[in-house]
Amino acid sequence: MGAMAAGVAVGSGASAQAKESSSDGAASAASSVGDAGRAATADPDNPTADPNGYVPDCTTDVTYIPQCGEYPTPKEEAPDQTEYSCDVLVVGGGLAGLNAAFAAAQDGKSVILLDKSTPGYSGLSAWPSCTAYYDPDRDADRETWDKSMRLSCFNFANLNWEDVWCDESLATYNRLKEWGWVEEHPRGVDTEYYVDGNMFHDDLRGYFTAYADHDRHKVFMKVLNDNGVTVLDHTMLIDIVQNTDGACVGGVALAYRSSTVLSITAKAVILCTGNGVIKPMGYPVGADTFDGIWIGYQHGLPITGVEFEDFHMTTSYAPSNALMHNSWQYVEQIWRTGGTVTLEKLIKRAGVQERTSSYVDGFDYSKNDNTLMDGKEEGTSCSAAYAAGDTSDPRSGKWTSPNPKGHVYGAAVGMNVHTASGIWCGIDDTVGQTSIPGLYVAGDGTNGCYVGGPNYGCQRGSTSNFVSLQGYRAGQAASSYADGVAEAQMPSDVVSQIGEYALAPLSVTRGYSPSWAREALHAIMAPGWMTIAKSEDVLNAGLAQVLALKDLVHGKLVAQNGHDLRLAHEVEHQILAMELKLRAGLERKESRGFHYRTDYPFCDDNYLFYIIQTKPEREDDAPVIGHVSLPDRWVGDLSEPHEVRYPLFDTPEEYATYAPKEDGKPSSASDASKTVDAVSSK
Amino acid sequence: MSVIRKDLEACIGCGNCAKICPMDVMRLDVEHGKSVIAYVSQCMTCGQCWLNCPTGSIAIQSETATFGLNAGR
Repeated sequence: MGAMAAGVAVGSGASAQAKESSSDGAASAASSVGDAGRAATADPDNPTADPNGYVPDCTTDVTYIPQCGEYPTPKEEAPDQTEYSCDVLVVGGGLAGLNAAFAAAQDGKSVILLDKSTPGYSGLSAWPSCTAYYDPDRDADRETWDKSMRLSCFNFANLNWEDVWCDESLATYNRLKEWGWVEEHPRGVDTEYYVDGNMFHDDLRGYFTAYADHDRHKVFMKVLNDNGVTVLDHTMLIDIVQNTDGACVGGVALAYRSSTVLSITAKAVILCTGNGVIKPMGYPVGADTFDGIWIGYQHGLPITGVEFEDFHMTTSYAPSNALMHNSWQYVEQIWRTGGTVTLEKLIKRAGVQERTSSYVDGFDYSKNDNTLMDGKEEGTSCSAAYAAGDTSDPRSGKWTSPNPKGHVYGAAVGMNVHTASGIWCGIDDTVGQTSIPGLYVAGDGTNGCYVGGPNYGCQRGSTSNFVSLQGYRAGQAASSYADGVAEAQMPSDVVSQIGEYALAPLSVTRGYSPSWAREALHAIMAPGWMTIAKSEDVLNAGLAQVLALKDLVHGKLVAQNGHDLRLAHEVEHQILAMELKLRAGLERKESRGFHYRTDYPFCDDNYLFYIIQTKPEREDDAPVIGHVSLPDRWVGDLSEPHEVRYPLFDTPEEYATYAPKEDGKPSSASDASKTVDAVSSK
Repeated sequence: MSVIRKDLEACIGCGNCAKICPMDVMRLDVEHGKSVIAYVSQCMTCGQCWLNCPTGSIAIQSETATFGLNAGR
């Protein structure tokens, strides 16, 4: 940072701007910009600047030191309208929210959609690179499918939702295709813009510009506009509002850039708020902050699935650079996947999870380079029909241009595995209806439904399709509900109470920066002993630390601007989610899917239940923990031997004990045998 | 890793970056018709601002811009 006086913005204006001389690609070094101590220059365009270039602090946000050479951060004008009314309020503009809003609008409802950023560019939905569906004419029969889901998901998958997915995923795919979200254009490596897969060498921006009319992100706004959906962007839902009957009748939101409170009366509300992460260390999902989990929990709804950890990878040599090994997949087309289940290959793979072995045994530094993922080698997760020569099946798999390979985990610290976590709606639910009348939930991290089990065991790409399907069904259900209720009215005292809560961090004079609290939480949760290979002592230690942080900062996060106001609320959500994660991890004294306990390293059939946590009556008490037993069909035949019921052998101990052996040696993948050797030699 | 300014003069104030940044890093100074890298410590290098900037005013750098941890703030 340059030498700057506290509380004033220095050196504003283009005249102080150093020029980058590099080509159109990304700048690879910072040294030419932001030189420390560069003389400030008066800005002829800015009459408020004094001859030394100092700008009074009355018109700008001075709570962040601006980048050298940048104009001061401007104040944002408050929106003219602060009170809204609609039939259906959709919160979150990802794939779930888009489909929810579309379904309700198609059903003739007036719809308002909130997004913390802009639909298409926020949350998880900006980042998929493939989408899957079930094709009844080409894919395995449903009995085989069921068995595959059970075995690949540790007898833990929600097969009611799987049924719905098999029935409706093709229609969902066709809708996404019709919208232009799925289309085809040349992949990077087949164009002049590709050099070697390194984002600092390739001309990614040139490629993007050449094919910008194919950009799938802007499809979202077109669908919403075409269907008359009112979009309130850069707006965060602070809380939902229940009336005296307990029904959800709208919400109070924050247009955070101008610190303006908005009230939105609605007959029904659909939360599509996405998953969550403490800090995005290479998977760019930082705007997802467990908002739905926090809101649901405050209103007494059960929270589930939080003990199963995310699996995204980053590179050890460029951690937190999301573009390093994802640059091409974020700008190329959405690849078609799915239909990978066959009788011969009932499960995805058998062997110790790479994330476990790479952490437990140490990271493989022979891969510590920009080894390319060779997209030409195979179309990952192509359908069995395509693999057998049916080239008319568009599910040819992922053919992303070669990129450096992500080889260490922790790209999304705190995130839960796809579709498992969120608000639990019940065994029989397939529309996202919560126990609060008028409140629906849809999408990854918000509707905790385990369609991919505890490990995203379905084939690659099913999440983007599934959350679209789930949003659509929630939109239809919310629309039907709205047909049957009178005009909604929000209790004014509740609305003003939430409004005050929304703005409270602006009035805190002594407290803690939300950025600091987030970093402290990250420091507690990031190590592999908290997420990848856990144990009782460590989880208890982590919980003690998270509770200490919570006690210290709860209600004492300071915001001096709208940006920090959003952050303050997000951090409260992140802290709660990590508390629930650790408590669920302690409760699950077994290993299953992406929950590995070194002190309980085997799948245990006594734990064939979903853990739910609800808010206690007394604020200071621990969350109330409950168990949801799973239907017989979901958990398979309990009389079968362990190695038949759990053929993935996911943990080192499972592998060493149960994996088939030839000549006394494990017979599966070399990674797995390495792990077993390493474990047995300790 | 973060967004960085490459050429402020090239910025035409279209507001694309401020509109699509999911982390509220980018803002638009309407008065001067320039974008502002306002809250860079939140940048997660998704690169959407850089890709969608029509004039190449911004870039992505390999240096880390992050928050320093201490006892409390």
